[in-house]
Amino acid sequence: MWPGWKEVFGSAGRAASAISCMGGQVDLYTYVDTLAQEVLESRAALEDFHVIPTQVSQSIAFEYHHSLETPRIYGLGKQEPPLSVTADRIVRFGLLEGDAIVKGGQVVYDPQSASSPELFCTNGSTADNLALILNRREAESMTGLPGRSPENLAEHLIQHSEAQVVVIKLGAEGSLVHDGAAGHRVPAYQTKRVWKIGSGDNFVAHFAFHWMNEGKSPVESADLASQGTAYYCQTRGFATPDLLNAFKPKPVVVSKAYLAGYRPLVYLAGPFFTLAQLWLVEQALADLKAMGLRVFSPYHEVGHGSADDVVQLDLEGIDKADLVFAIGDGLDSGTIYEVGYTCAKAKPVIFYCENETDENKKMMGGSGCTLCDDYATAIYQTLWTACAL
Amino acid sequence: MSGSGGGGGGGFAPPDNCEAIVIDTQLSSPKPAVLAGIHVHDKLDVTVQAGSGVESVVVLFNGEVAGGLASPEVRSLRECILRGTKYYAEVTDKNEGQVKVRVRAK
Repeated sequence: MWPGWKEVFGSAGRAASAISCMGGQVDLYTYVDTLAQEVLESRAALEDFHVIPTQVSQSIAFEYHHSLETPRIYGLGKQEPPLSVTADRIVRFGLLEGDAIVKGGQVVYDPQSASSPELFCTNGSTADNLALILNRREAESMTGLPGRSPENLAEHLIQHSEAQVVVIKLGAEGSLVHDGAAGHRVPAYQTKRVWKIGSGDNFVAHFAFHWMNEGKSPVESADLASQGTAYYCQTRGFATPDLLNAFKPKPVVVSKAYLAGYRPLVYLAGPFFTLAQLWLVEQALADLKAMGLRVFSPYHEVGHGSADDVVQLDLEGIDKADLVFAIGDGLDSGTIYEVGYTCAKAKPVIFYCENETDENKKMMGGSGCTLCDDYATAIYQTLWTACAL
Repeated sequence: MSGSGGGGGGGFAPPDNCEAIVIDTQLSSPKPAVLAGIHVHDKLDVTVQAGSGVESVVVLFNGEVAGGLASPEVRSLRECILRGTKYYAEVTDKNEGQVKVRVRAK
């Protein structure tokens, strides 16, 4: 994948690392094959947590081109017998290999299934005090109430599930935390770089650490979890308390218009004259849309043609757009013209470019464009810029 | 482990050719006090350290543990070190207390 990364991690493994690095004591119950177990036990020894393995013939592997992509999954086989865990404080993740039946005092549950998230109690799990951590799609699916506001979804789950606390993650809008009495908004935080794989696992881990270990309120725990997640996204590493104290990310600014439902229009500037260029345009189109933004893609909405056929339509697309995401590698003349045209219109430009010299990016950098040399970061910078409009 | 990721279906290379092992990874459990003196392009020693029933592969700076290696190739790396191959870890990035390294044979 790009940027290069190859590690042995699952959601619970990441959470174990994150909690242990914050100073919590962790027993990690997991399905694992022999080879992955060696790696996991090496990490556990270094980071000071304990592994209770359940052997499987082959661990599942995920493959990505970039960290925003839906992964290809290898090694999915038969469902293994469930893990059983009883403890005072438990973090339970939904599993692909099998299931985890837990009986706990305080429990944090992330079902990890947007399409069919399992209710916590369905498999016989019990908790005295349960916090659900869901993304919006999971909350809609679990309640059967698509299209409702996060506040409505959380209130419904508090009223009709066994949870005392519900956290609904809302991307750039942060999260909605219902503590059993009322809903509260907690911001997301901006980072210089974005490493997306495992970010949700870190959020769960930091929330669990602060809520269960430190006795903090659900709202404070979610805010600290949001900051801990930002640290992970920026560094790909796990925060210690000292590192987190020194890390001062800025909250994502969300405009009133965005909160009210307005979704800015992004003009997707970039060359589409080779298969590789077209692949990247398609990726950017899908990822910007997945962030909830509207996109004007000249390739899709205007296409190839003569100057008379396309130029005016392309420029009208920029006129209608709120901001531009530009693919700069190759310094395609049409793209550079579009960037200049956009700057002259005083609209924001996010200029994604990995392989050009500083000299070649001087005009863009000097005229207020946001320069990014990482794809996922560029997509998130576009989202954060759009949110503030 | 659900969600294991990054490689995609690959197994672990047996240590047939210890000289050929090259690993790009991030230090596990980085030690801030030791890392304070480390810079990008520094070359750190790599060794095996016993403890807690597990032989860990760690990276040393001036004889002190700067962090550990827990990448998928750690088994091969450990076996090669124990057979006598010497490795170094070159610092490729340092960011907010986290360190990336490229490990290769000396």
